[in-house]
Order: sequence, then structure tokens, then C-alpha cells
Amino acid sequence: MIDAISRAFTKTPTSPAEFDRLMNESHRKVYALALRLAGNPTDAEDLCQESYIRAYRFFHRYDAELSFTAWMYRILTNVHIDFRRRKGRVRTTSFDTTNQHGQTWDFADSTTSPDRVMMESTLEETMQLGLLSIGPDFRTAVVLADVEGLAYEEIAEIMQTSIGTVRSRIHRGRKQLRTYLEKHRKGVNA
Amino acid sequence: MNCSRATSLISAYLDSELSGRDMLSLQRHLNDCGSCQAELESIRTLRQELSSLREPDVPLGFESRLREAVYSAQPAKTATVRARTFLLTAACAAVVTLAVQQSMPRSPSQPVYLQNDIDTDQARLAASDPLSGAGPSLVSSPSYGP
Repeated sequence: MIDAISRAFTKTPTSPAEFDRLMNESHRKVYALALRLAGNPTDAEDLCQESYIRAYRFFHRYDAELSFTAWMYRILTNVHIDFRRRKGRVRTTSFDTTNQHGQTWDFADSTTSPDRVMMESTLEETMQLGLLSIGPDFRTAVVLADVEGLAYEEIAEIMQTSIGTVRSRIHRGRKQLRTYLEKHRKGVNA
Repeated sequence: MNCSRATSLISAYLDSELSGRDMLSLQRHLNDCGSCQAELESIRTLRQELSSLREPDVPLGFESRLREAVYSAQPAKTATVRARTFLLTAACAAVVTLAVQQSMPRSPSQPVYLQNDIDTDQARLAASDPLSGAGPSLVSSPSYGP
């Protein structure tokens, strides 16, 4: 009886072995997207681990008729949003003075975005820096369209928004990225 | 179509995400507008640069760390576990329902006041029916005077 009800509950096999197989197939692409979004390998690995932990926990909700990698991209973009919020809360910057006890003050830094913090560490490629210079929603849409080669409809599904919003984000994101690259390459060539 | 509208459509045009009507309008505009043609080429180049980025290698030991993180976290709920949870919940609900029913006092089939009304009506009907044999003694007729 339990087996019969189990079958009624599932659209797909949800065994750990099946999850392991799908994780093995998808983790390189998921890591690549995480690196494009986060900007450095340490944060990219953290994003991947958190994404797969969530995926494993909610594996029973995965519909096998859909792409597992696309499902992972969706989870990853949500994890990235949470990640940026967390990073944004803890970031401080040093204030160049001391208080009456000779200690340095630390204030919340409102001028540095969480992703800029990630950028400070290891990124070298101009293009990757350019991607990090644009807003995270624009970056996600541009990376999914141009690096991953997804259609607007798929991107809308992953980002849980409308196709019109995706179109706008890609258009604006590309323009901002191009402006950054033009400025940077001019600076390098000068 | 003006240049502002045209440049807003160029990205979607390059991605083959424009409707036929917009695509034709944009193509007509591009044939006559050098600056929008330059914009198109600029975005096209950017797309090519992005699509040619190589897939990065995963760091050394990435897969084993990933597995350890995933499988040491909270285990997934399998279908069998969820089916057992469903059965257990259903069984508990049935037991509680039965217990509540058993603990309630048995109510009569009809309330007392309703039964009295029915008896009175039947008696009145019998009194008014000459074939029923019931005498006027069952129902007292109203008196209109001393």
C-alpha cells in the first residue's frame, strides 16, 4: 500500500542515487554560472553547495520532464539573492579617525555592493569585472542569455519574471556592460 | 520607427526574440540608419565575446566537498517517507473523529418541542375529520364567551 501511495506522490524517481547522477551531470555548468554571478571561486563554491543542499531537500518537487540543470539555475539565482543580502548586512568599512579611547570606528558601508566585495579578491578578466559592475538582475539575465545561450522564455522561468522584464534586463545589461568595457579598454590602451 | 525605438529592439532582434512586425520595421530602419547599424554591430560583438567565454574548471576537490556538504545536511524526504507520513496522519484523523463521535451524548431523533407540535397538529386534524372518530375532547375548541 505504501508503495502505491508513493507512486501517486511522485512524478520522478527521488532516490539519492538518482539525485547523485543528476548532480554529477550538472555540477560543472552550475559552478560556471555561480562563478559568473559571484565573481570568485570561493563564493561560487559556497553558492553551489547551498544550491545543491536545497535541491536535495526539495528533490521530491522536481519534475523529471523539465531540465534538471534549468531547475538548478533557478535555485542558484535564488540562493545568490539570499547570499548578496547576507553579505550586504555584514559589510563594514574603516573610518579614518579614532574615538576618545583611541579605537577606530567602523560604519556600515553603503557605497560598496556585496558583489563588488566579491570582485575585490580574485577576478582578473575584464569581461568578468564588467559583468560584476552591472546590477545583479541584469548580470543574471545577460549571463543566461549570452553565456548559457538560453531563450527568453527559459530565462523568465528561471528568474521567475515576465518575458518583457527579461528583454528589458538583457537590453540594459548589455548596454551597461558595453559602456564599462569601452571605458576600461580605453583606460588600458591609453 | 525612430532611433530610440530601434535601439531598444536591437538586443531582442539579435536574439531572434522579436515578432515579425517589429523585426520588419527594425530591418527597414537599419537599412537607412548608419548609427543604429553601428549599434547593432556593437551589441553583436559583445554577444560573441560573452558566448566565447570558456567554461571554467571546477576547483580541485570540488566534487567531494559538494557531496559531503549535500549528504551531511538534512536528508531528502523520499516518496516512501511522505507516503508513510500521509497514512499516519490519515489514521490519526480517523481515530480522533471516532473518539469525538463516541464521546458526544446521543441526541433523540427529534427534539421534544418539535414532537409536541406534531402531536398537537395531528390531534387538531383528527378532530376536524368526521371519519377519524376522534372526539372534540382531544382538542379544546376556543371559547368565545362565558
